[in-house]
Amino acid sequence: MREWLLRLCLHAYPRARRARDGEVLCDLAGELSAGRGVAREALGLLRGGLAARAGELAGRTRAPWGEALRRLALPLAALGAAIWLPGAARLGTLDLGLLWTALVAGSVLALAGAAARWRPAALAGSLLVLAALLLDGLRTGIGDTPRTTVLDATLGGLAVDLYAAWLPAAVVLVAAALALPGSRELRPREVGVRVTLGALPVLAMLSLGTSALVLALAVIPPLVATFPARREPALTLAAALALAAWAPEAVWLGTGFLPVAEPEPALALALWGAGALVAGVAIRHLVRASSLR
Amino acid sequence: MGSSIYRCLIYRPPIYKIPVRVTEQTYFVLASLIDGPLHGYAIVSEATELSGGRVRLSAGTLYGALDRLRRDGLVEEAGEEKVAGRRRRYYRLTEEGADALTAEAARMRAAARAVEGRRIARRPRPA
Repeated sequence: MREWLLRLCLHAYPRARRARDGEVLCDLAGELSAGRGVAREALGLLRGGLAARAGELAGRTRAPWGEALRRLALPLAALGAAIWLPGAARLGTLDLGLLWTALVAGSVLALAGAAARWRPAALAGSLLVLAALLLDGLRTGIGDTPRTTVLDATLGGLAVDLYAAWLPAAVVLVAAALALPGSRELRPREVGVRVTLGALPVLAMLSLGTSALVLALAVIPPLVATFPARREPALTLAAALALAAWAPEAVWLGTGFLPVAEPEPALALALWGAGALVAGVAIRHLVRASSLR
Repeated sequence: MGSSIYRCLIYRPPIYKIPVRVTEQTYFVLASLIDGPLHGYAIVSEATELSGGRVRLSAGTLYGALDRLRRDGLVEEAGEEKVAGRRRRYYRLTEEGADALTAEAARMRAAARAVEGRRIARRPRPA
């Protein structure tokens, strides 16, 4: 039993470490646990294994996370604005309420800041959006009040809690805003071009109709503009981060293929977790596939 | 060309030597190896004894500390053997490890001198 528990906790270590040092480590833990109790040694293995995994991820990949987040800021802010602004337009200016006012103001501010590559504006805007979504989630619960906003025309009344679904993307957008420079570096002309590109998805949604296809097509210009064509590690990482932001939403939208009209909170959270898991696995593979080590 | 320059700028590992941070745990792990190579269990026992019972390392903590010390070049592996069905790996101090330990001991001696032999003014207790 003791041996079994220690071997189980040993799995907290990365596979390569386990293969190299697992036997020695397990024997030492077994020897020490004879005098001190197995719980302490089991916890020590768990803590050490998780620390080793974290160290490998952060230190050994030497990945340009900051640069990847900086690149992701504009496409992500553009996508957010393209979801919330047309939604507000449909509600009408008089019926906006506090939540939508915060979403609209935050989206515009985040988009402007990301386009200008200026942290204060982008951070204020993205935090405003995140706070609005979190407060609304706490107030009404996640997933139990399906609120279709702008995508319902295409998705045929599909019950998607878009507020909750956007939360992962909102968190990544805050991280992206933090990665932007604190002072303005771009020339006015560059800012103008980036603002135009970032506003394209919003304009497309307003003029061509609020559909997932229009949204997907309209977000391509800011993506192309901010991601250089040549292969760079930062590009791979940025793609992985984009996946992390959007995979939960993609899985959430997949509820349309499940026989549930309105996802229960537990199911909704499970789907959300599945999306995050998909994103995590994808990040791991993308980081491995690129030359980041 | 531009891309490779960019990658060089980002990914080149630092060429300077980062000073090793010696915590109390790593200090006693290093100190336990003064007399020669030891295996994990002996290091844990020796560190506990040298520290007067303050440092009681678990296998996971010891392994993490040894791994960091090995990466920093302060200790190195000195072979393995099997005793009573248990695999034991031995570690020994390197030159750098001995230097780091000596330097840390000197630093602590100097820090202790700043306090020892001086009368510490205490705030009077309220009556």
